[in-house]
This record gives sequence, C-alpha cells and structure tokens, in this order.
Amino acid sequence: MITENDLQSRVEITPINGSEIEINMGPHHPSTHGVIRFILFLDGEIVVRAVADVGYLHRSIEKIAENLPYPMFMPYTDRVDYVAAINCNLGYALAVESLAGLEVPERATWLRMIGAELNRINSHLIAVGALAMDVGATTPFVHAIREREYILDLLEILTGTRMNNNYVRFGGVCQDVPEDFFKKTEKFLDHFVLFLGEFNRLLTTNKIFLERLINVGILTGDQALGFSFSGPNLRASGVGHDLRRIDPYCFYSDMEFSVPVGSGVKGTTGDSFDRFIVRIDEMLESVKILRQIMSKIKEGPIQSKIPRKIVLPAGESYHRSEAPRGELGFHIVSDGKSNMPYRIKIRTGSFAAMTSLSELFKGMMVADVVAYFASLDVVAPEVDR
Amino acid sequence: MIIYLKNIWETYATVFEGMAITFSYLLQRPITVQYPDRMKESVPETLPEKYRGRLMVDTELCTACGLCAKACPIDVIEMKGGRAEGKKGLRLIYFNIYHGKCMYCNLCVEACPAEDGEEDEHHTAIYFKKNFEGSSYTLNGLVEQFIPPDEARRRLKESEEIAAKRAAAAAETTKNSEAKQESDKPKDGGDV
Ligand code: SF4
Ligand code: SF4
Repeated sequence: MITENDLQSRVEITPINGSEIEINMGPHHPSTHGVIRFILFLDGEIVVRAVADVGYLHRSIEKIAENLPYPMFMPYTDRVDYVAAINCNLGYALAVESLAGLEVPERATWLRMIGAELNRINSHLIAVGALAMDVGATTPFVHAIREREYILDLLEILTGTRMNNNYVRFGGVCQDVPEDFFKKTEKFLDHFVLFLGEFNRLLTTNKIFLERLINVGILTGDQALGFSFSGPNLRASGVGHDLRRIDPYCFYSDMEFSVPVGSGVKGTTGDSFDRFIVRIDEMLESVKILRQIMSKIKEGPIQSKIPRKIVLPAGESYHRSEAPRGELGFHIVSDGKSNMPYRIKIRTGSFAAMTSLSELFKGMMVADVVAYFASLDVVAPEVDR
Repeated sequence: MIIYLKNIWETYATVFEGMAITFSYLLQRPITVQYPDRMKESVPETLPEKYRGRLMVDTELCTACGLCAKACPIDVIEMKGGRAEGKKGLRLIYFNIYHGKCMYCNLCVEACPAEDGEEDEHHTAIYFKKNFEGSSYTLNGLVEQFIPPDEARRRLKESEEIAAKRAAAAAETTKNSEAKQESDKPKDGGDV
C-alpha cells in the first residue's frame, strides 16, 4: 500500500494547482475487479497523472510456499488466480515435474488440458462479461455468467469442486472422470458455439459498446512488449505470442489451433476492442482444442508413481505456461536438501498489465480509464498473490 | 451529415437487435431455480460422485495413523490415537475437524490409507460427503467432534492406563535385563 511518502517519491508531485484534483478510485470500486486502488489526478475530466496502488490482496502466497512441502503448496496455487485455478495448478505442477523428472501418464495430460481449456473459456467469459458491465451493459454479463455456470458444472464432475479445484497432482491428476463427462462436454461445446453467436449479436456488434472501446487505450506491439505484457493483452497488440505455440507443453504441439491476434478490425491495432475480440476468438479456439482432445483421449492410468518425499535438485529453474491472463511463470529455487522450496516466485500476467496503467491513463477521460482497465482483464489476487 | 445519420441508424439497429435477444428470453422458461424450497429433488443427489462437500470421518474405519492430519496444509484436522483394551493397533481418542478452515482440497483424503472394501459408496476413512449445507451461527459450530468429548476423555484415560501399564512392564523387563547383563544403559519403554 502506498503511504504519503511513497506517493511523493513515485509521482513527480507538482503542487496541485487550482484546476487539478486528486481522487481515489478504489480500493473498493465496482470496476476494479477486486481491491485495487488508483490515485488519479484530474484536470476536469482528463487524467493528468495516475498511480496504481497494489497490495491490498496480498496473501503472501510465495512466503507460504517456503514453509510447505511441494505437494502441499498445490491448493495455494488455486488462489493465485481463482478464475483460472487449473491453469495455475498446471503451471506449478509442470515446473516441479520438469525439475524432479517425473513422468505423467498420457490420459492425465489430456485431462489436465481439458481442465485448463475449460478454465480458459470460463475465465474469458468473466473477462468479456465484466468488460461489458464496466462500460455499462449489464445483460451480457449475466449471459456470460450463465454460460460459466455450465462450465462450473462440468468442472464439478471433473474435479469435485466448482472453483479452486486443486485438480492437478505431481505425476497426474487427482481423479478420473466418468465416461458421460465427455458427452456432456461435447453437448456444452455445441451449445457454446451457438451462444457465442448470440453473444456477438447482443454485444459485439452493439454500436454504443463499440464506441466505448474503439481507439481507447491503444498499445502498440512495442509498447506492450515494453510493459512485458503477455497472453491475450499482448496478442491484441498484434504480437502473435502464445506459449502453447512457441514453447509447447502438455500435448499442445499436436493440437491444431490458430493464435488470434489483434488487427484493428474496427479501429487501431491494440485498442481496447482488440483486446475484447481476441478473447472472444480465443474461446472459439479453445472449443476447437477441446474437441480435438475429446477425440484423442484414451483410457489409461491417471497417476504415475511419485516418490513420497519430493526433493528437488539444488539450483533454480523457471517454467512458464499460458494462463488466460498471460504468461504464468514459476521460478523455483531449491537448496537440494529439504522437501520445501527455498523460494518460489510467481510471475503473472495481471501484474504486468498493472504496470502500464500510470503511462496509459495520462490524458484519458475517466470513463475511458474504466474501459481500458476492464479490457486488460486484471484480477486482483493475481496482481498481489 | 450522412455519417451522422448512419451512426444513429446503426445505434438503433444494434440496440434493437440486442433488445430482441433479451426479449426472446422473456418467452423462454427461466433457467434459474429457487433454492432450497422449490427444488424438485434435493441438491446433494444431483451432484457428481466425487463432489467435495463436508468432510467426514468414519471413526470405525480410521486406524488413527495421522496421515491426513499431516497432509493438511492448514491444520484443519486435530486428532490423536491411543491404545485400547482388546484391540490391536491404535484407536481414535479424538478427531476434530475445523470446517471453517478447510479449503476442500482433497489432500487429506488422498493420504488416507484406510479404505472400506465395499463396491458401491466406496470411500476412505476420511471422505467428503455430498452435503454442502453447513453454515453455523458461531465459529464453534464449525468444529465437528467425531468422538464426543465424554467418550474422548474416557478413551484418553484408558489409553493412558494402558500406556502406564506397558511402561511399568517395560521398566520391569529393563530391570530384569539390567540385572542380568548388569549394564546401566537406560532404556525408553512404553509408547502412546
Ligand atoms: S480438504 Fe484440504 S484443507 Fe480440508 S482438511 Fe483436507 S487437507 Fe485440510
Ligand atoms: S489418514 Fe485415514 S486412517 Fe489415518 S488418521 Fe486420517 S482418517 Fe484415520
């Protein structure tokens, strides 16, 4: 949290002249998706300077990791990004597995991918729905949440819980699925493609919605890279960077899918609308991936034998995977002796997105601030961890 | 001017398109259901087989090995095992679950080695019920004691007596062996 002194050192404070006012947006503001606070210096309705204040949701997950054996940290990774829990589980599991040299059975990998892709759709639904709500359209949000509910039902069969699934284990997954899960998923996907058509008619073509997003918060590819963006936010700026393609893990190298990039369909490349439409397209790609997985998955074991006490070799390693909010990296340092990590650093996409705010908010209208921020799809727990 | 009019036209057209979709939902059956009194069947019955509801322990099945308590990252399970009269191995003295802390992560269930061999409703000694309705007005209401306190006290006493007896017996043997070997190595006897 920012104290008065920090604020002085961080922003080139010029004495506030008569026409400039300082307002706090958040920490509890409906458009900040959790407890995030901006300090905006306004001249009329134009933002002159802005500071993004993070840390309100800090739960010291990284510190907790240092005091827990590797398998026991798994449920905490759910809470790094609760909207896409399985993706975080997967990232952590892959990081430890690659260091410890654990094998994963084929079926377990497929199941992990099903979980991750369902979670990606789930997360993007929240993203587009919340974006719509932040710019004033409540109905599409309700529609998106309704679809998400179907996904949660599927995840319930797959993992046993609706959120914070804690599904992935080292060397496998925690439970197998009944056969009718695949039929239900197939049915859902057919329905979901129809739903997206309807959703596009409801929202994506809506003139008022478009006007709120087009040419708002333009980020060029270079700028986005400079802010170390990743994931959909970077792809919206025209950089086709998808870790499932570039640095494939699981069986993503066998999957056929395209990587949607922003091309400025309605306005300029890298504007808020591009970030929105990239997510819509990505959901369709996830549907494609899910269909391929479903045609390829076979019976088999879901858990390989793992040592009772996992001790990683001394040294450090970084493993990255593609989470719905960008690159999710686990940097694990091990001293080679204990069954707990010496240090874990989690790199998340939302935090990178937060770094762009002070720069981009300059010269924006307050209403655009909300639109731009919502289009970044930041969730607060991922920022603070 | 033409662009201006076109914009207005587009706005109206797309807004009405959205309205049409919204209106169409008025004519459909609502997808929401009223919980809990208007449900056709009770919700736990509709849940999938492996649903993680409230945590339960089968005190008969449990071998008091303590693995679940060790596997839990947040000390939800508070348990102790002890000897019992006429029973090999350990018996539970108390087993408390702090439901308010539990994050339903399944790690304890996976750690449990005691399973019942039944075909249907097969479960480990510690398992998740499908029931998820467990709200309580007080924090203490969220602590479930699977062995009632009175019984727990009785068991504790019994196990202590047995332990004391064994310690005495062990001391006896130590003495005897000491006498035999005339060695003065202290030996630790008795276990709880
Ligand atoms: S489900 Fe997880 S948090 Fe709850 S008692 Fe078991 S191990 Fe502990
Ligand atoms: S792991 Fe199973 S058998 Fe062991 S104490 Fe826990 S419930 Fe009982």
